[in-house]
Amino acid sequence: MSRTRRRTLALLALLPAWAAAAGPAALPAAPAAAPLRIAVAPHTSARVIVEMYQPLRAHLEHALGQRVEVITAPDFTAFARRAMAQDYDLAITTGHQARLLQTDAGYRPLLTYKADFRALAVVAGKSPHHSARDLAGSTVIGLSPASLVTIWGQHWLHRNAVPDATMRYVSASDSVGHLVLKGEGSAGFMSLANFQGLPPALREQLRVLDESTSMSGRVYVLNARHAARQEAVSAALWAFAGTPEGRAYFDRYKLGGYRALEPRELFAMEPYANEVRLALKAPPAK
Amino acid sequence: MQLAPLKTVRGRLILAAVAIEFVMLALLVGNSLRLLRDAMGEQARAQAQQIAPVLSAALVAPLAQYDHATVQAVLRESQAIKGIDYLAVTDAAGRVVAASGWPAGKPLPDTGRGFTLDASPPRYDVAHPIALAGQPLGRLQFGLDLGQIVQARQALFSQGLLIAGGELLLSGALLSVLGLLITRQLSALTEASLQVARGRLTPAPVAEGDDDVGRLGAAFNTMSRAIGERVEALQRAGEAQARIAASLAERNAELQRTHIALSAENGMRVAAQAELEQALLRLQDRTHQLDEVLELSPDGFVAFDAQGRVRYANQGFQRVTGLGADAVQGLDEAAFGEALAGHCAPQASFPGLAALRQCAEAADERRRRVRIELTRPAQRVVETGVRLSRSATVSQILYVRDVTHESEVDRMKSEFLSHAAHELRTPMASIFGFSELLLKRRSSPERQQEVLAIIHRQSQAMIDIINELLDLVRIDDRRGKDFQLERCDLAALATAVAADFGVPEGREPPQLALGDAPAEVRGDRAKLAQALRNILSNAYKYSPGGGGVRLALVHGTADDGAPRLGLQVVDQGLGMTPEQVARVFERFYRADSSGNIPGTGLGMAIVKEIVELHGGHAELHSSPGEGTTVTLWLPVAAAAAPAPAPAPHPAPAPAPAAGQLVDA
Repeated sequence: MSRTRRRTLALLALLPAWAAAAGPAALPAAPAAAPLRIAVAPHTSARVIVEMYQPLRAHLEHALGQRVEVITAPDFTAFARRAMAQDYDLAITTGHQARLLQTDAGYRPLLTYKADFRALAVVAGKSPHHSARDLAGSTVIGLSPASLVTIWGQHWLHRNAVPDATMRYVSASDSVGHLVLKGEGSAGFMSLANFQGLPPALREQLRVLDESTSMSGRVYVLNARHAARQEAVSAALWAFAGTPEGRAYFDRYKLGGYRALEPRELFAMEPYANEVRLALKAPPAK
Repeated sequence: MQLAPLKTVRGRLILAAVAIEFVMLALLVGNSLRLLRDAMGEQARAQAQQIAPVLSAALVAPLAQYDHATVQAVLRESQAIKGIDYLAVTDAAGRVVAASGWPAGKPLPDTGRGFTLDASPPRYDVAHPIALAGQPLGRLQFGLDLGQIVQARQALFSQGLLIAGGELLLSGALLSVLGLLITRQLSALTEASLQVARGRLTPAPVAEGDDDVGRLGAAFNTMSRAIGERVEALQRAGEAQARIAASLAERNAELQRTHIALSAENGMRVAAQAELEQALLRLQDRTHQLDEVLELSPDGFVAFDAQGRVRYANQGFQRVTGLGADAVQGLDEAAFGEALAGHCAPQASFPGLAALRQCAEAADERRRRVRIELTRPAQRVVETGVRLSRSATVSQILYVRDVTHESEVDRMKSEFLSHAAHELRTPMASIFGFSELLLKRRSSPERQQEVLAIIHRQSQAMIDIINELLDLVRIDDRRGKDFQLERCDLAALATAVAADFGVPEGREPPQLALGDAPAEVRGDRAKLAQALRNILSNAYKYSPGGGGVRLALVHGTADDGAPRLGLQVVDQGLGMTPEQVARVFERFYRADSSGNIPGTGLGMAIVKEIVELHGGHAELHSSPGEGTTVTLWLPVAAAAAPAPAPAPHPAPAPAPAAGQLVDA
């Protein structure tokens, strides 16, 4: 076999390897076409969340020149698990999950809403429950075990030494109110914002038994892989607050606008974040 | 004769009927299949439109939550719907996130082909976008199973084919039987017709009957008999035609001979006609030339016909007499004479044609013409005469000729001779009388010397007259052809003439104002000097009371802008009245009627002729008691221009232009 023929065969043998190596590079549009995923914690139904964040999505697409999609998760635990698995580019979630993502997954906190975020313990207006102790031995309804209001509620039960209270988890805050009124539970935990968003007829039949101090509600955190774009993303968010669409969005959902995070604001969420951390370590429910 | 089935009417009728039936059955089956396809397609599309939104609504939330397990469950449950072959959902990036009834990893089929029953496998693929609030979440794709529709179509098609085949077979058999019954008698007719075609014009009669075919057979039998009779008649006619043809051939030969003879005669006639046409053309040409001559002739001609009426009058007659052809055409002699006499002066009127005919017989040529004077259209002297004609159509021709100019020349000659004779007779009478005195009477030597001086002076006067007459005649005859033209300086010429001029005793020489500017003209020095001498002579003669005479050179401009030079002589003498000024250039005219101033009356006429033959003109201004100014204007010689040709006739004097003294 001549040297020339050997060289030719060697080159032919290398062709598949070269093709495999060049294949992905030959699709330059693929990375650019990947959308920026804004994941919103499932504080309400997926349909409402997607509709709610459409003005922000449209603004960011225009400002960043990139396709943006708004997604959520079936529940807070799944949301936290996916966020920890780096599935999201920008996460909008409650303060305790934001703290967890900051410390355990490298997300970078950006800003939060001006609106006050508080957790409520509600009971039926005509119920005989007038203090935490009245809930002893009853069933208390909360959202996902990883949600801030539910964790706050469990801490509230613990701080008030309510014995033998059984937690029941549902998927939506309006379901919490309905179940409490139907007597499925003696009390329920929901955020102040969700309480204010309930239908008036439903809300008037409920009574607030207790409420938390102000906490970090929904915090915007950016995945560390976008660290180089942090200023651009942050600027786009602040710019959204100044647009007519942004103002309408804040007015409609009573969010008051954006504000910067206080220096140790997320650190205060550490106890709640630890609850989530423990929940994630537990094996998933069958 | 046995024909192929398709060559027979029966065969073609059967084939046509079967073909039509085949087409109709094909249309029926095809239309049924089309209706089935359209109806099933519409039903499939409607089903797809119902399924897609419902499934899409169910998939929105799990897709937004990235809850693909739920998506998969929804698809799995949905596939239980009858007729759905598979379901699949792709995310916004096009990745398959859940599928049911579709193998994992296998690319989803293309949905762009629409509804078709010919696809394999038979399936209607539909895609529907899943979006929420304008945000695309993914795409739902499913396939509707069309297997039952395809089976129904195949059953319809095969059953249709079976029914159509049976129908065609039955129709063919039925039509064959019917065709055989109908065309049996037609075959006999066909055979009989073939016999006629082969020459047997009277075949055996075919069967006749009351139906269509039987009547056709009867008609054929009648036609066959008629053909036989016609053939016999044609044979007889053929024999007669042969006889006529022979007779026609004989007549034709005779006609051919006659034609040859007539052709020769006709040739001679054609040649004669060509000669006649040539002669006619020549005659027309001659007539045309004659008409042109008559129209161009300055003389007038009037032709009278045999009845003595005006037949023709040319343009010349109208130009001379003012009577147009339309005014005299058709007039008899008397009316014509009266019309012409109406344009004449009473003392020299038209004498009439009869008188002219008498004059025409005179032997002397001049006596054959009669002069008349017209007052219209202008004052004219006209010669008329008649020439008798021997033509059959023209009896006589009157001619008229305008001799006004000749008559005027004659008058001027007579007048000139009369003037000349008169002027010569005066000194001649003195010479005759004083010479007779010397011959018949003795006188002292002093008296003789005195008389001889008178005779000498009068002779000198006669010689002067004769010389000037000769000058004038020479100028008239030669019209300047004998002039010696050259460039000459008028100032120098005027200086020389003034120096040589014999100033009368006791008078001052002319005062010169000639200037230094070049003043060259082209002319004959001697003639120009003669003209200048004449006007200097008149200036001194007509200023008997003394007074200075001034000779100047003036510059001026002609009407056409050309520069000109003038020799101007100014005296302070008697002057002239306007009437005298108007006549001063006439020959033998003298402003002095007393006879105290000597002269021939020809000097100024000579001056005028000389100046005008040089292309100039003489200008004279005068007032009684104030003197006279005479200017001889001449054109300035061009730098290198040739000398102006002497005018053949005296040019009309241009309007006087203001002269300007060079050094006034």
